Amino acid sequence: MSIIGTPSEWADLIDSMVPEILNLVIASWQEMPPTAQDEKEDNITIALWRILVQNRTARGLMFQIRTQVVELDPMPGEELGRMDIAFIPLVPSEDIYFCLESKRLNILKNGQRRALASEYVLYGMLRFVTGQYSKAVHHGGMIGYVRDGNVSGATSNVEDNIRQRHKELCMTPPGAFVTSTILKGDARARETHHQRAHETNLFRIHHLFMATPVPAAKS
Amino acid sequence: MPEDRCSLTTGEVLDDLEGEDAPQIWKQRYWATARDRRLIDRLLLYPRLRDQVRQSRENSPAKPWLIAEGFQPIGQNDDPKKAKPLHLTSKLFIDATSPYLDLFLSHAECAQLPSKDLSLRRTSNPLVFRAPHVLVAKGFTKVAYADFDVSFRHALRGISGPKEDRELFIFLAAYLRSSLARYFLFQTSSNWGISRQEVHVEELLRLPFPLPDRLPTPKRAWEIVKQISQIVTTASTNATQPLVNRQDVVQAATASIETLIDEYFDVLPLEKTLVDDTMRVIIPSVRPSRANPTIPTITPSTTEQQMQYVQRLCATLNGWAKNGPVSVQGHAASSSNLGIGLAVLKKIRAGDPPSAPPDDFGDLLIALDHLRQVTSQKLNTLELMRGAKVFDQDRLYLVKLIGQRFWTETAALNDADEIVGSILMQTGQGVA
Repeated sequence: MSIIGTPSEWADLIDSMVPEILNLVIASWQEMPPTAQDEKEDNITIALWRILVQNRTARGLMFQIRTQVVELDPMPGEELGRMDIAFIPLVPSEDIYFCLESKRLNILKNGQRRALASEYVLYGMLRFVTGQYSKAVHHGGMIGYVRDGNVSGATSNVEDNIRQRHKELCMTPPGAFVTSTILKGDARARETHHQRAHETNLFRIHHLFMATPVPAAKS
Repeated sequence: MPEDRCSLTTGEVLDDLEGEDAPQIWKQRYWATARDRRLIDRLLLYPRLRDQVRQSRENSPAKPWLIAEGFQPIGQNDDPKKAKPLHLTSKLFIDATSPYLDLFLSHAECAQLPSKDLSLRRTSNPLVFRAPHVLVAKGFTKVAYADFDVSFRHALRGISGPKEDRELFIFLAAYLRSSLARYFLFQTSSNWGISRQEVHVEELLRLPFPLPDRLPTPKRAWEIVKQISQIVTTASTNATQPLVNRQDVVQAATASIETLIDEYFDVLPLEKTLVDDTMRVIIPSVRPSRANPTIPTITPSTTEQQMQYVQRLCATLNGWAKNGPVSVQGHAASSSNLGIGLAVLKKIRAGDPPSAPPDDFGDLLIALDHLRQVTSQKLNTLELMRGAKVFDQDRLYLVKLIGQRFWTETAALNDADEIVGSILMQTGQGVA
């Protein structure tokens, strides 16, 4: 149906959906099944996506939740990206979405603990900052699957990495997490603010560090 | 109509090809609205009937149930020397055109074959004629559970399995007759809704069919299976009583079953609306015939339907605006002479008195002329009549054809999505 006129006077009808989305992710995480220690990131993401899609609150909201969404308009020289989870309104526009990018943290590989904090920053956060993801909107999300359950350790590792790369991340020094303005009392939630080159508004990344349930050890 | 056009991205087509199922993306853009596709996508996350049912050609010991067509009798032009033998365990036979193929089947409703040994053009897997089994017409017009051995021809398919699964088979028969299963197959099968009403076996087996133990609350799921089994068994007994109308018995049982099926599949009232609108407006409009000439999609909507549309639209928008200082109220009017309807929403502040319809609402021609003038784009009346959403300060006008298809609650939900999407997109907010 044709849309005629501008809805500028209607802007105050709908609040930002970011709080709704973050609360959905937190609520859905409670239902996550245990995953093997060496479970791949994509499999954890798909398990989370399945729960999000079945969530009763999500079913009444105005967006669809999709996984592994191919980004069709990559930056020149960039690889075609796949957004892990995208919350997409039901309008014919590919630009308006909330992207939730996921990364594993504190994994055990060949008997060695690996933080993977730099992967979180380089292959996650930086994609928002360069505009590869969420170019037309002001918010994005990162979810860290903390495989060993040490949420404070994982958060701290990522923050150290952010400090080292704060210029690349277009953050004001020293480049640190701030308390989530949405999930204020939740120790798993953080926020970072970025001045992206292509816009005047601050871009906010909402970080969730979630301890992933692992199967109970066999006695 | 402009809103009947669909856009597909190459990525969506490629993703669809990568899936386990045969491509559905084209069919799902035929009748299903965006809201319908969300429901279908959710239902597709459940295990499927094919996880439980094998076809005759399949060697899958993990699948305990079997699906197969009935036998094909020898025709006049067939060579009797090439006939194939089939030994049956019962002489009972049911024809695909039997009116008794409806939820359940009793011995008395079946015909008797002259012999248990048949010579056939094409035989079938004899296990499919053994109870417990569910019989399904290929056009998906008839489904019934049979608690006894009975044979049938190839216009019917049978699904059979071990005796200990009897309650699950009764549940399956009830489910296959339900609005939910019919909705799903209508929106996903390649033929139904486009050409003749036919559901291919792979499409039937693609139906969501989680066993109770695979659901989040297995105890309640088993209770539902047993309740439905009891309802069908009781109905089957009652239907044999003298002076009882079988159709009435089946209708009463169906009403009880529908609610339980919706609970089993966790269908929310919001999702039920989509199913009901498809069953009530869309499916009866497909392939009208002389015997059934009514086409609900283009039948003019009533004032009551228009009011329900506006109420659902406002309730949906206000549900999303629950934390904000403003809400919306709406009114609708229509003209059967012009063949169009107009809904107008007004944004009001909390505590404001209810909004009255606009002054020019009584005459739609005047209202449309007003709309032409308030928009900066040059529009002619015909363009407006093809459907438009016009934002004019604190008002939003929705111009639609008067046909019922445009005034369902499903249409209201999709319009609400589009309105909010437009607000988010044009004000630069995005979802975020």
